[in-house]
Amino acid sequence: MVERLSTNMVFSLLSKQVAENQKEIINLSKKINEGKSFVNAYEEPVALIGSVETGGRILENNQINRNLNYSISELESAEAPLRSIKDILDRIKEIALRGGNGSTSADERIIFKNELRTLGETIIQLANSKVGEKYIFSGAQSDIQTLRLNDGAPFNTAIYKHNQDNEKERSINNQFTSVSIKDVLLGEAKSANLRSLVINPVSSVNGDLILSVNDGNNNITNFTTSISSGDDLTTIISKINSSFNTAGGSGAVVNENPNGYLNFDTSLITGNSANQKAMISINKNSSSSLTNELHIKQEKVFGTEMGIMNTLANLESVLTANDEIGVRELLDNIDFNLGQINSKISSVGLLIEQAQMYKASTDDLNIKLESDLSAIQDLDMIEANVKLSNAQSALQTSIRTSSNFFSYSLSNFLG
Amino acid sequence: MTFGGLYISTSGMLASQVALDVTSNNIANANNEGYTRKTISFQEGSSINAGTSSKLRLLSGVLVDKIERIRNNFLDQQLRQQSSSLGKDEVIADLTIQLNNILGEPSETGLTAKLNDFFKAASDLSASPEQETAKAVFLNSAVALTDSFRQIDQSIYTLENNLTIQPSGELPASIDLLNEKLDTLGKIHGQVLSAQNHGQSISELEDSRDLLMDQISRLMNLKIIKAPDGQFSKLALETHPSEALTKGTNMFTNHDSPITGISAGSNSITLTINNGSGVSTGPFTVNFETNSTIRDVVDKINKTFKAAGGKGAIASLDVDSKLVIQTSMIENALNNSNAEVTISSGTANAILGLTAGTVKGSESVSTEILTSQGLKYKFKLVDGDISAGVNPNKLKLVSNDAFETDLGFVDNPSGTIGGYLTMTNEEIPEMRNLLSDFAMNIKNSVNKLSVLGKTANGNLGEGLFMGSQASNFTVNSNILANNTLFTPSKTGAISDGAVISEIADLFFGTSAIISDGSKSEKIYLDSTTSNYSKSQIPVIPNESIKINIEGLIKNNGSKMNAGTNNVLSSSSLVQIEFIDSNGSVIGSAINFPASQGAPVDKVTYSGTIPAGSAFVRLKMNTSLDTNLGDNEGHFGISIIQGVENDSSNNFNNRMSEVVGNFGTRGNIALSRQSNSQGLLTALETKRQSVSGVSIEEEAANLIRYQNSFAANARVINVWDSIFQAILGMV
Repeated sequence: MVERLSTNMVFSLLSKQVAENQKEIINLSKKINEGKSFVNAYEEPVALIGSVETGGRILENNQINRNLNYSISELESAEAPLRSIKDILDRIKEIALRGGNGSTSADERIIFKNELRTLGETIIQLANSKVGEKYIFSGAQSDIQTLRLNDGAPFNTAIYKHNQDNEKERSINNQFTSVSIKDVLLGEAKSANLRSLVINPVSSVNGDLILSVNDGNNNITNFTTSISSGDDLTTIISKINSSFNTAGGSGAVVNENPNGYLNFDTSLITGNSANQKAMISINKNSSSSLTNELHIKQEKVFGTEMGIMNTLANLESVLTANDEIGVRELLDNIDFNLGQINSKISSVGLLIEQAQMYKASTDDLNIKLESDLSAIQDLDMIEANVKLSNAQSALQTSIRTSSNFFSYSLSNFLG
Repeated sequence: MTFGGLYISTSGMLASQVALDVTSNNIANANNEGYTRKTISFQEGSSINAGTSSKLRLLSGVLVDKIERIRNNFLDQQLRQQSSSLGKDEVIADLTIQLNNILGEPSETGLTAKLNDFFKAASDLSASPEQETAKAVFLNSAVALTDSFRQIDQSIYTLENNLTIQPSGELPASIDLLNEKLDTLGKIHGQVLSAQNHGQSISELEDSRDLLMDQISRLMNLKIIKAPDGQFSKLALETHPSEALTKGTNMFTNHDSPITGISAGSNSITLTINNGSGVSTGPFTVNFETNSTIRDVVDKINKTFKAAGGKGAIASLDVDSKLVIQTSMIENALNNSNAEVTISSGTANAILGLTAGTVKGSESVSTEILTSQGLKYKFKLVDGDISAGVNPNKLKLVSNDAFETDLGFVDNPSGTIGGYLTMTNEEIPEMRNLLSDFAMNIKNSVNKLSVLGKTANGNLGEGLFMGSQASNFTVNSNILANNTLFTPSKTGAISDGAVISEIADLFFGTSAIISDGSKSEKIYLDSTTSNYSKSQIPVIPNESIKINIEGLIKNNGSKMNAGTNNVLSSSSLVQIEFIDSNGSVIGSAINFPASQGAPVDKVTYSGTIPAGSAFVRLKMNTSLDTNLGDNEGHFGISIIQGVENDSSNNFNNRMSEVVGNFGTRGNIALSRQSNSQGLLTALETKRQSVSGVSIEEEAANLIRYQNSFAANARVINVWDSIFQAILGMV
């Protein structure tokens, strides 16, 4: 049945249609002006949630990126002084080599001693390097000078003024931004049980492990153990102890702890002394594959006497005493210190490399996230303009239809 | 020959004239809202004496049979129901959109932007903790964030207050309007009845009554009861004479002052609640704290109700500052005879003025508002004032006289008024709660960390934020007065950003780790003066903690592993102590577990930080080691202290949840409004097609009746000629 059309109803429907068309045009214009696919939360709540979450992730990523730049900058600032310290140690080794030479005169040793003083003071200056107002090597206590030595005082009296509780190195976004060189300069007492080695998996380990052991009585044994793929824990322990014995050591340096880890302990050495000279050093630069496979987290040094400052103090002392043999005996310590500083330089380089890799991945992620966010919230301009054009045509049609509708009426023919 | 033909034509002319009047009236009222078109119908007139011929008795002219209002009662009923739904949906949509506009998302200056600024500032400060400028920017961003929360909450509060404030608020004004229209309706209804009794024309009165009913239905739908003749006779609606509600007799005028006599451990109430739709909660006991205010009491009752499995709230304060416990605020509550509040005997009953017993709700009854005797009742909003914390959340029916005798509460009112009540009772409080929950989530999670900060002189930091809800969420005024009370450092070292770094982690992580392997503490036992570790690590009660110790202890001149003795006795050489802020040890010293084998170089304790703890420290076990002066413990300690975010989501997810919730409510409300509007438009169109005036149709009628009139006039002319001819013959 055909429905009656009341005049009011027709007016109402036509004007409603025109109003709807106008509303659509205004809405589209607003979106086009802002370039967004929605301008109010209630239009697209699901898209808005995605937009807030993705926007948050972009923000986080950008912030990580900024912080990584900061980390890289700080670490690069630390690298140069470490290389200078290494160069100075090379020169000190040269002095020690010449000072331990039988043909060197007592006067020449005094000259070397004077040069050593200057070089040592330069090392202290380098240890106190700053970026802006921050002491690079002071960790979280960046407002405190790293090392202080009274004029003319023996180098082993250099003071590391930090509160021991606050020594930790700085990090941002779990990325280290600073390195401590306290252990290199002053040495560091650490655990007798070395648990840095985590075998995972043993079967893939392959390479040379280079060790240096002091039994606490200054009997130093340097040796290398070759570890092959497929060696189990017992075999590795047997090989290390066997190499130690072959190199002149007595007893053992390693056993297995209850948790199945390699347990390096100087107390296993026959005739050992439980003092701070007792030391086991593992050279990290031995084999990169081995290092990686065994996850050598860091070398551990036992005994405060092995720090650079102590070596310098001893060297200064034996040069002053014109002790040619004493000078020669310190060559091993200098080599050890060189190994330590090289290790620091490597670890700084590694940290920079890690930060750069991390930064590269955040850059890639950012592009992806920006693209995702754009897909969620940005307006497809072509589509929107087509829609706007359609809406304008619809409005014109509505207005024309309404106008035409009321142009023709029976009432025009009355009379 | 008679004058019958003349009379017949005259009756035709008269009938056409009336028809033309009806048509003119329809055209004149074409744009009159509420006008019902009239139609005219004719009937053959009564027989006239047409001479002796019986055949002529069949010719009787025309009479107007009736002028009829074209109305479809079924359509009216449907349309009013739909109008009522639309009234409610329109209000909800309009106010929800306003709430979305207040939240102002998405924008560059909204809450999300402020939260992002706060995160950026925290992250920047974590990179440069020593920079005062970075700290100032961080604190400013915290202030801007709290300002934003307060501003949004204040705007929502203002909106809510403007809706409910009596007598000018939208809700009370709508109720006044409803009463006014009902009063007018009562009067018109009386006139209709009177006119009917006197046989007068009542179509315009009926139109006015129908229009009023349309308008009233937009405000609230009422049931029309028909008389046996199918005509409008009465109006009625469902009310509940009583509800499951009990009120304390004691007044607590000062909502923020501690209640006299209330104390922890000795004051409690026990409740059992039934929401009337089959869900019973309890009995559960609410234990109050010492110095609780009446606000604390309300909060504790509601929280305990929720903890017992209830949904929604049961406790509030009335306008007289008396404690009210009721079922109507519970989710899916029905006010019926199953709804129940039972108060058992309790030690706090007397303090709160509560009486042990059970109060039940009642089934709804149909109440006649308007009868032939006029308007009997009117609507009234219960007393209340949002600013005083009392929501005028119910509509009741009272007698239409000076006594205003209470007849009970109106069950789920619809229409505009129902929309306002839904907004003020449900939507707005829920949205404010959502905002407050988020603000308190930020406060609690950040404060847990900021109190762990340590200044350069060893003092502990203060909580960064203050407040109990979004409306009073601020940055700690002590910190704003002295910014050293907030420290990004956990150790006091100038470049230690451990605390602020973990605060920044809360934006995208669900928990913060105070200390991990890379940030391990080193604690040294004092070798000469005591058997305690020098460092005390701040801890957060009830959070999880894992303590690893690794390294050497020099014991009586011999090196020993930190884990030594773990299997030799039930006690370990190194023990853990939790201490409160006054330095008193909480409970007994805790041993590291003995099950890890010995000697081991590393032992781990995992547990929960006891309530009341402020710090954790380590100590040498004096029962195993009496020569303290010879001890030199040097062990690395890593303390992994998890700080769970107060919510299962991180801040970024919570933010999207809040804006998503606001947006979704708006979207749903708009969609419902659109659907209701569509249905109403369809019904209006339908009703217009029945009752509306069509100018074209009326123009056609005009021509028709004009022609009819002219034809009758012509016939009279013919008769006149005939008569003239006859007279000429005389």
